[in-house]
Amino acid sequence: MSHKTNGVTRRDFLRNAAGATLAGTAGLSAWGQDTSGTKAKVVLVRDAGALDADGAPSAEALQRMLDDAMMDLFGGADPAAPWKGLFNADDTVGIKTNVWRFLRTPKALEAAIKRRLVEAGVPEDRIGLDDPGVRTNPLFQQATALINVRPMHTHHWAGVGSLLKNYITFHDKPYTWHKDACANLAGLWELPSIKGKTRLNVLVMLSPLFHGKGPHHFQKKYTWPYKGLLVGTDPVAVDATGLRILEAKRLGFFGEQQPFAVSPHHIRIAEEKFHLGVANPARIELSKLGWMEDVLI
Amino acid sequence: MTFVTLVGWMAAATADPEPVGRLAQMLPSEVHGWKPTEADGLYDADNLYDYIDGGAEVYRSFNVRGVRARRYAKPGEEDLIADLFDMGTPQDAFGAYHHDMREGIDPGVGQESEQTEGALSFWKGQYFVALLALDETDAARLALLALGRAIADAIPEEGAPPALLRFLPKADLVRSQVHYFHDHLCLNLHYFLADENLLKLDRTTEGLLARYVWGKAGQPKAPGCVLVLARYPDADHARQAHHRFMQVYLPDADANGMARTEDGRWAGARLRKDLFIGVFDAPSNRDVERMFGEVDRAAVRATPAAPSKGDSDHEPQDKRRDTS
Repeated sequence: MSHKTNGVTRRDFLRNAAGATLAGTAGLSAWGQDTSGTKAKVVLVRDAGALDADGAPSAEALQRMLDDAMMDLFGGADPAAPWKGLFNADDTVGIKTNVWRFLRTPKALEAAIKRRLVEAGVPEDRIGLDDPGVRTNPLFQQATALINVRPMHTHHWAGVGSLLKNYITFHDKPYTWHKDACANLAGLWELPSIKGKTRLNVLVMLSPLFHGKGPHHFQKKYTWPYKGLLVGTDPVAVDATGLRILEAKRLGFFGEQQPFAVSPHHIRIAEEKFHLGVANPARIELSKLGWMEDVLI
Repeated sequence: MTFVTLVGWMAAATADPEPVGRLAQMLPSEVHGWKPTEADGLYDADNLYDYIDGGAEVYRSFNVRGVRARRYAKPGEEDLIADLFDMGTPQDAFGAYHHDMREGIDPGVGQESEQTEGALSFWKGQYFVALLALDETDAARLALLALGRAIADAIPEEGAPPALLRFLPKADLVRSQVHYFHDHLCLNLHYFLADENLLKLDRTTEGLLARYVWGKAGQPKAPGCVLVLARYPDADHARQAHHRFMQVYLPDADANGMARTEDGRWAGARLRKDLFIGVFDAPSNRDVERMFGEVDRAAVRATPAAPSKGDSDHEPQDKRRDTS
């Protein structure tokens, strides 16, 4: 006779389709080509000039990439129009950035977002920009809207640092989300300070980290100049697309399907358990813009 | 004494003279033209989160005592970062080092080391050292090597790795993927077993997770199995852990303690005095049985002289230090 446990075991995962996550992949392929159900759109925009020879981001290129992605995602030929559709003068907007010292959200991208918000009528003094201080930042406490922007990289606990993971600083005890490779990160999006507020997600893929080691989980060797941004309204779909790019890079680099040291199954679980968005690639409409060399997906 | 060195020393003396103060003496004040640019960062188990975010839990689980972080700069070059971890014992220094896969080249620094293009890591005695170059120039690589050697030379004594290593079958072992752990959190990072701490692991226990690949010479290696060893303070604790594990994870086990799991592979568990032996992902029940047998034979070889800590197989007796 089996005895119950509070939680799941490896065998529970194996019993379900999510077993693929424990085999070392994100399990995104386990759905096959099932295209039924909700769909999501993600825009991948790349620009060969997004980084200079030293790897520094180009402000001009980032603004152009952001504008192109927004116009493709929401339609229209005017860069300001999508922003005016999403935000207005009554909004207080929190831009949840990420300031990890080795791979932070480029300041130029933060500035590009802020510029378009101001053009859309949001008063500058009601635009917050923060990462570790979001819980105490008055602009985030009063925020009516959030923009989630961060670089993707492999991660100690979550497999990948994702848009889903980026909201962990909204919680007073971030470590409580570490269980089972941060499987339940999508639950963060139920917090009152977050729920229903995120209007835009931007996953920075300029120089993603596809493998990590050591205390800081960073070595430049495991980054590459992909020079892209992924933009969408569905954070799960954007994360799932970013993850596919990392997986493709790892396949090329290692010469075989090398499992992530920690399974990034929180992305899949965000769809399966929390119904926050779409992780199944077959139900993600991917629009690709700009530079296509070594696009990987 | 330079101003920078003085500032670093003062920071150490003010914040916590021991153990991180001692670490200052192990860091050179200059290497190939790179010099410290700011006061060293000083951390203990409670505030390590401030420095390395999520990764801190790993080092806390290995009982980290103190960390000194120094950033070196040189005009025209990217910075170097030196992190010295005082882990308290050589076994935990080994654990911190082997938390990561170690598939790179060993440049012979400390007791075990790995150098990749932009990083050098090693352990020696009770210290785990991680050096990072923010760029991968030849100059940075050479500086990292010199820095590593200087630090290793400043660590007076070597130490013994975990004695539990002697219980690992050596044939077909993937040496880059041997991970030491104390608690459930670290085991689950390498191989998720369950949300619940089925093996009742805590700071009084020690364990090893090792991967094996099987295949004939000259042929591509196929996945073999995962071996988990956990040693408890006494046989009673081990029995309780084994009992709970069998109840929850292998309730369908046969009389030999094995069951076919949902992926078509085999898992099994045995108890040997204070030692839990778990085999996972094996192609067949015969493979599980074979691993049990190999661990048994290794245990028999290891037991007569096995100390409670420290592996005499890995270091000559005269090199071991008493960490009690």
